[in-house]
Amino acid sequence: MSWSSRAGTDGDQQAVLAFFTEPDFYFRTPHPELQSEADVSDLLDGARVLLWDGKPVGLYATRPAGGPDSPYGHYTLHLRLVHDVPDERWAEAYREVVRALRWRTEVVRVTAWVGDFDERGLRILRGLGLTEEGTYHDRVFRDGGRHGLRQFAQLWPVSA
Amino acid sequence: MKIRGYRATDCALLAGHWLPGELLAAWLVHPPVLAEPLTIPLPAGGGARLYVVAGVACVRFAGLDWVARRARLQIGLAAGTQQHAQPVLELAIGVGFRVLDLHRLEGLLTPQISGLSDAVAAAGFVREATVPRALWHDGAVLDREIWGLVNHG
Repeated sequence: MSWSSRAGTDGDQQAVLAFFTEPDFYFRTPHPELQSEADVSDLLDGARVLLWDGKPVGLYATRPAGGPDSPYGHYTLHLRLVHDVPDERWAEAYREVVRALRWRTEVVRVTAWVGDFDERGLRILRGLGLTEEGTYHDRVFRDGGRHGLRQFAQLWPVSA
Repeated sequence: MKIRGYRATDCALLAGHWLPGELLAAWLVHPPVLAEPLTIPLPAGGGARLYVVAGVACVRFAGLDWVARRARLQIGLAAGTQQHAQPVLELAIGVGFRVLDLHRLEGLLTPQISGLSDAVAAAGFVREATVPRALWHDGAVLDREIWGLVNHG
C-alpha cells in the first residue's frame, strides 16, 4: 500500500468528476457539486491526481506563491481527499506531498487555506501542527452566507 | 432531487421543444414533426451559468449582472417531467440566492401556453408586467409576462 500521483489523464476524468459530487470536496471551491465539467477542468489547473494503492483518492497542487515574483521558497498548497479516506491517511498525504516538494527545492513556507465551514479541513491542518495565521473575514460566499477563510502555514528555517 | 453542475453526459437535457427564453418551460404539445428543438447554449464567459437536475431539467442563469446581482432564469423541463416543475424551481432559486448571491431573478412566462404560472407564483415570483404581442407561436401572436423574485434575505 503506497502513495503515488500523476497529472490528470483522460483515464482519471470520471474519477475526478466523481470527487466533485461529494458536497465537502472543497478543492478550490466552496460548492463542489455545482461545478460544471468545464469549471472542474479550470479548477484542475496545475493539479495532480493523488492515488492510494493505485486508486484515485484526491487532488493536490503546489505552486510558487505569488507567481514569478514569488518570495524565495514560498509555496501554496491545495490538497483534498475524498470522504472515505481516514484523517490519519490525509495527514500522511500532506506529509508526503511536502516531502516530495522539499526533495527538489528548498521550501521556506507552505501556505494553505481552509474555509471556516470546512470542519474536516480545519481538523486535519490543526492536527498536523500547522500555524494558524489568521482569517480573511467574509472571504467566501457559501450556502447563503459569508464565511471566513483561514490561513495556515508551515515554515522551515532558510538555509544559510 | 438534487441540482448539480453540468456534465457532457447531460447534453440530452439541453435540447427540447420549449418556448424561447421561458422562465419555466415544459415541453410544447404536438410540435410539428419537422420542428427543430430549441437548444440551450453552453455558458461562454461569465455572463451565464448552467446547472442540471439529472434527467429532469436544465437550469440556466443568463444575463448575469454581478453589480446589480440579478439574472434571467430559464428552466427547461425534460419531456414528461412537468410534475417536477415546483421542486426544480425551488432548487434553482436556492442556487440563485444561496450560491450565486443574487438579489433578483426574473424571466418571461407565456400564460396562454405555459400552464405553470401557479408554480411560479407559489415559489414567490410576482407578475410585474405584460408584454403585448411578444411572441409568435403556432400561427398566433401571444402576450408574455415578466415575472420577478426579489431576495429580501
